[in-house]
Amino acid sequence: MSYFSNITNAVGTLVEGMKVTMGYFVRPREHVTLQYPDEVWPIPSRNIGVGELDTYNTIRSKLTVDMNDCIGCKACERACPVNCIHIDTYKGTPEDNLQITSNGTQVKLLVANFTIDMSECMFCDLCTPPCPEDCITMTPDYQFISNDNLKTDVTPEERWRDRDLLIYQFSKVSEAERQRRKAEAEEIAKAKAIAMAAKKAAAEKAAAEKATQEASVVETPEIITPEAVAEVEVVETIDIPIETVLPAETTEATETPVVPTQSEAESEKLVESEDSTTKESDNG
Amino acid sequence: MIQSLANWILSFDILSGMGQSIAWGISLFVVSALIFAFVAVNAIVLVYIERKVSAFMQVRLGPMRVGKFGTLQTVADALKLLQKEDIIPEKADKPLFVIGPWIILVASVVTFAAIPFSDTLLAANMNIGLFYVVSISSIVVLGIVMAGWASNNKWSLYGAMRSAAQIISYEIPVGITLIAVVAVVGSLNLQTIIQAQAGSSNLFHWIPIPLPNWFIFHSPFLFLASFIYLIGATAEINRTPFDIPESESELVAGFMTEFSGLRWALFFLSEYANATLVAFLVAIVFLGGWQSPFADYKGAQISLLIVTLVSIMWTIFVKTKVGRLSVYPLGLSLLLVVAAWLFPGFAVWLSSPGLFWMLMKVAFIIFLLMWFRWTFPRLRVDQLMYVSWKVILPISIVNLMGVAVWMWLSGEIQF
Amino acid sequence: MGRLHAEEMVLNMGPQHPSTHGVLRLKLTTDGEIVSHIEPVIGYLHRSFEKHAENLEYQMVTPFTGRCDYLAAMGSEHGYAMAVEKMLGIELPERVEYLRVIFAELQRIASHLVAVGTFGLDVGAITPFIYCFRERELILDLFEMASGARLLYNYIWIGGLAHDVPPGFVEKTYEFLDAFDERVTEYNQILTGNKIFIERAADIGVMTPEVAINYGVTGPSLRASGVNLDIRKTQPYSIYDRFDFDVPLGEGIQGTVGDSWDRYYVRVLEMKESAKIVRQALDQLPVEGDVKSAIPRRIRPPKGEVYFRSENPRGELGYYVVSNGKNVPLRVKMRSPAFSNLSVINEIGQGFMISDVIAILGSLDIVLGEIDR
Repeated sequence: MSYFSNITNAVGTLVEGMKVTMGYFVRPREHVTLQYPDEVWPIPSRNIGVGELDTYNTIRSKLTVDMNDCIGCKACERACPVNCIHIDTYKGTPEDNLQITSNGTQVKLLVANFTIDMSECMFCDLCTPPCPEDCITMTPDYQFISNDNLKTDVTPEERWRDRDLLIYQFSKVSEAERQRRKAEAEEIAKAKAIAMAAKKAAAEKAAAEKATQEASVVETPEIITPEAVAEVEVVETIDIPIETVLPAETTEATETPVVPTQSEAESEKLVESEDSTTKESDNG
Repeated sequence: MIQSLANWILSFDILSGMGQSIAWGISLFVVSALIFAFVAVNAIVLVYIERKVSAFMQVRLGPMRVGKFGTLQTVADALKLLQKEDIIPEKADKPLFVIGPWIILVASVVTFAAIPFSDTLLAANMNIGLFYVVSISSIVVLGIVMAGWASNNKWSLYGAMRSAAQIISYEIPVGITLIAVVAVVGSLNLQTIIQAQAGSSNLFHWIPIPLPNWFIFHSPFLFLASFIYLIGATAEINRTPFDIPESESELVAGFMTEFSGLRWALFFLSEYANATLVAFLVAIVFLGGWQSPFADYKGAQISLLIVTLVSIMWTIFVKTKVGRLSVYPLGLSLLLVVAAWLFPGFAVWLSSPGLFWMLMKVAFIIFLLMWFRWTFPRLRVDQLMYVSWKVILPISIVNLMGVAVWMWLSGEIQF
Repeated sequence: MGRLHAEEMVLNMGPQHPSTHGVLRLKLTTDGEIVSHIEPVIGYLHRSFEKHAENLEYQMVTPFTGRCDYLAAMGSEHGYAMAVEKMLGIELPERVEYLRVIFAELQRIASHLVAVGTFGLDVGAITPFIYCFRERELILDLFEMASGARLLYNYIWIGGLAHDVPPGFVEKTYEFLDAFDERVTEYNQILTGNKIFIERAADIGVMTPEVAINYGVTGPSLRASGVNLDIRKTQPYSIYDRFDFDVPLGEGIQGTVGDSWDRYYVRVLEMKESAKIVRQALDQLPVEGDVKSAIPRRIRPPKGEVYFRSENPRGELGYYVVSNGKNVPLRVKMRSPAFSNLSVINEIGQGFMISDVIAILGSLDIVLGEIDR
């Protein structure tokens, strides 16, 4: 008898299921399809009360930077987990006419190069909160399609490597100026390197002399006077302010300070440089 | 029909010079081309209908961009398939690989020669029409096994083996069910079977509800037989819930995996040709073929009125979300009833037999097949076999005996 | 006359397959259709999450945790945040705790919708999958409102949340909850009670409680075998002890206890329970509170280690974080629940047919991103 009850049970449940699909079939107006691009889902926007930003769209898509407010602190570069932001800053000169940001801060560094590689960005939004001037934001512009990709005389390999469309350059400095500043910084760095090398050589020579001196002089502990020290030490001093740091590709431990005039910032910098060596050394 | 077309060709003065056999040959060619064209156009339309039906059942829209409401989508797909690279695997058995799809297609299309589309449109009026259809459509198994074996692919082989087991085991209940109908009519000729369903009679011979004299209303045994046949036929054409051979989520595409481009299009064509064939058989054998459900124009008007009133009652009183009628069926029935009462000519046309009613019934059965496909999960192979041998087969044998008893009781036969 | 020698066939359900949930390779040794040995081969989605975490600061690891289990990203971030907060000893404001519970439970509903839908898809029912994803879209809209992203959020930060929820969020969540209960009835009508589905899923892949515990299976798969272990009840973390919800167990309604139907049905019931929790949390949500007030300026936990377990939609998600005083963790290990759940497939899949192996895999609900990390 369970044979027959099985069959009737089967037919009953199957008919139940058919009722559900039929119910949807006769109501095609309740469909959930949006025919893109004619119909677009509305993007939610809301006010999270960030400064003067009235409606902060929270859809996390392309990044944008308001260069009028950027002070070149590189907080966003440090916060990025995938290192897709690259910033080059140089000490500002009076010819650059550096502006005052909307928060009232005087910009002291010239941001010559501010690129964000959108093909590496993972849209995690970790770069926007640390910015002290709220100039980097994620926009709700989610369409990455562009007609430039329709070039027809490129090989597939070339098109793959043509990622320039996705590297966004925000700095308003011209390319010529950028190169000039970079060359200048390199020269200064070279001079500094020579100076450091010379200092090191002189120190070694002095140490070697001292060793021979000590070897020849027996048992008379020489009182080392400050003048003696001053004599032995560095031949040449070059006064290089610490702000003109090396360009971004070097992996030395020093970094630009947040605002150069604050000593707290400097001590912070030293602490962070000690901590982030592991991160920087892994920089690929 | 071939003869009548030949006569028509010869009736032209210019063409009357050619001999009988040449005219006959030309008309044979024309009729075959028409049948093949019907199958091809039918497949194109059915692909689109299936995509739209499945989309509406799944709360979405289906193709909408190519042509208005996506009507040219299948044409675009066909063009795409035609220009694809023809890949034959290196270790595949080349002759079988090439012939396999063609066998399936040829077997499906050839059966259409015996199907009566209307009282005059029939390519070959065979006395053994039903037997011819059932036996030729079984050749499909050969093509499937060839395709699966020639692919040199373990998964395809699985699909082909399962399909062979499934089709062969569902042939028997399908055959026995059709025999039950033949027992009532006394002839295998499909045209005779349809003509035996003319007129109207009571439901199940004794219940006094006037219904058309279709075999589905002949007796509860034939009523059950129609559902048995529908289930068996769904298994014959490899559709869900019996689509184990081409189960998409398990075997990628089963025995069709290695075929691409035009060869895959042939498989697809034959699948829809088979589905249409099965729908035609159900319509012919159980639903009265090209007979109209209305006896005369008055009957048409009154029946449509009753249907509309019932739909209005349903819409008002059935409150559940699923049970409520939506505006489309209700609007359609209102439109029909108003047209039938206002224009008696429309009602006369509705009550006369012809191609229109045949296609309506075929469309309804195909819609049922699509409804099954998009609602149910699929059965496993051994469960499929269980259903065939232990459920469908005993029921169909009991049906056969019951039909005989019923016919004796209702006086159609005397011992 | 010797015996007819029949060899066993080794079949490869390769990395690219419609039904293995991700890039998983299963080597099946079959005799005809009956499977005698299953060997899962993983590693096709390994992205070195744990090695990356050794070079990123604590707050930067959060987006990477979401990418491991991409179907339940809120749960992964939540577990990691709580692990580090335990090391730091932070006390969270009430509003943050309630919001975190709301998001975790909404994510549980979303993940179970995928599990239920794909299980139906594996056995051949295509339509319920689309219905499940229609509900999931509503949940993803809620997440988009709150965090800005639909799938990978970086929203649950160490010490709080990234931003507060916008004003219309609570009303929209109530709307979703009101519409959700009748949908579950619909799934039951079209799939759960369907005789064909029951034939495909009942008595398939029976996992006894002993086998489940021995292999380390956790989550709904374990509870379907009758073992009453839910971390939210046995070791309540966050504020789960304030909510009233049941833990559904498998009872073998349609077959043996611990078969695939039970694993599927436990997930359906859990969706309803999660909806209950969300409703209670919304009712009790404190209106005042700053979600960013407890986020530390610099995250440098003291030297030490912590193992924190939380209830992911797939099971017990554990984070073992070791700190040596710097702001970069020394080691972050993720105990992924799907990894242990997958390991049991050889034990429970023997003797069934190939179609059943696919059904069992679907009922275990694995995510390859979490297994391979």
